[in-house]
Amino acid sequence: MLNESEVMRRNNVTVIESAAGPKVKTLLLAHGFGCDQNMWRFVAPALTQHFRLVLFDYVGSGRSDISAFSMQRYANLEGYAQDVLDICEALSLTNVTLVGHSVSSMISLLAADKQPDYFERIVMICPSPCFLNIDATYQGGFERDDLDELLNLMDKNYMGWANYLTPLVMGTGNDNALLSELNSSFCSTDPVIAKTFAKVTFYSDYRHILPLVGCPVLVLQSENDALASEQVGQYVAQHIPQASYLCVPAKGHCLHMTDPDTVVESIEAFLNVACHHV
Amino acid sequence: MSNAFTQDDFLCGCLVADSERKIVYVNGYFEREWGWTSALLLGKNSDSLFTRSSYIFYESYIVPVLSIQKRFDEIQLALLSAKGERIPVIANARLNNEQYLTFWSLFSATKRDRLYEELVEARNALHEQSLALKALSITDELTGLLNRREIKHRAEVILN
Repeated sequence: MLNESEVMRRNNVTVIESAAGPKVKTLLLAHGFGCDQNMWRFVAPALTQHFRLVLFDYVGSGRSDISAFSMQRYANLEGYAQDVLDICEALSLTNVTLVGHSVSSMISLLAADKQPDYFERIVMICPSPCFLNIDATYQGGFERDDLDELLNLMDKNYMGWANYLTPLVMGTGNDNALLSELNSSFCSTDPVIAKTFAKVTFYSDYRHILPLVGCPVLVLQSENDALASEQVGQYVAQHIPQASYLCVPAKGHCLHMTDPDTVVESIEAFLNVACHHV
Repeated sequence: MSNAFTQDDFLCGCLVADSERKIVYVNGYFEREWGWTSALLLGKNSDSLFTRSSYIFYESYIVPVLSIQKRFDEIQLALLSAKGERIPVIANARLNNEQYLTFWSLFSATKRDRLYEELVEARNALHEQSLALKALSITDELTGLLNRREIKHRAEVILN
């Protein structure tokens, strides 16, 4: 078991105390595939008016400790959910509201399924339990070929971003000095790790966990999101026992970056907090 | 008339999209090289120019990077021509915050894509080979069990 400071360092945990003092609810903000906790920067200032915020990077993303990455642990979303649970445990968090973007919506459910006591509510921003088109009853939006091509595209882009051939030359050992260079640029990371995350994100099917959620869930759907369509968002809300569904007239898959005010207001309303700011 | 030239003369696709991602300008390169007349593109959502895989890449990396860093350089994507052909391009883009416009420059990258394809394949082959060699070097050929050298090595690790 890792102690608090080890987890704080491993997951690059940031705690922002609320302007309203210490007796407020805590929001744990979980970023999606591709980026890191920087994604929350447009909603964070307004959210701190009413909430204490805990932000972090999954192992392998952002400024996390890449040497803590293990192919085995992070070969499925349960491994990422364990990051969330480790943070809750290290900071002794209980009755937290977990806010997850995209794939982190499913990671949140896995975490809450394993340790229901930690979590009071869950907010999902643009969730999808499965990106693949399965059958007539479920169309995640993508064929397997699209996703294979995505991995190929990632390969081609990593040639310019990172030391693409280096992990192979160096063997499996992680050289921290070298790897930390990869982290100097926002959203760039180790190619092997990013591809592992892409695979578990886009090839997984976690529809079976939707009915298992015991706490209230808010589904924030973007009206024009080709990555997680309205049908997918509705499917999620319909299969979660206590779900509220809100479709926001917006473009794209990053509601918290394009429509931060709406996201903040929706979270406040969901948690019964009065809105005072403009 | 020595300076009678326009943006249409450039050898790259120039595109401007508004905050709703609607295409508000394309230069003549789109029609000349990719068959997209401005009439077909203006007012259309810029997302629809990308292949499905490029779209995921766009939402996962480019949108966040543009929001925060306001520009990015040298991202490889695939566009669709008017006939639906897949076109590898190198994209640069800049977000103008005052006007909420995104300026894209798109360079055809067919040859580079072929080279990259070969590099990806070479890398994958190297990876497979290194795994196979590693397995060979630690196994006894006759029994398929760990060989003496590997057992000795692991024993030392465990005992120390």
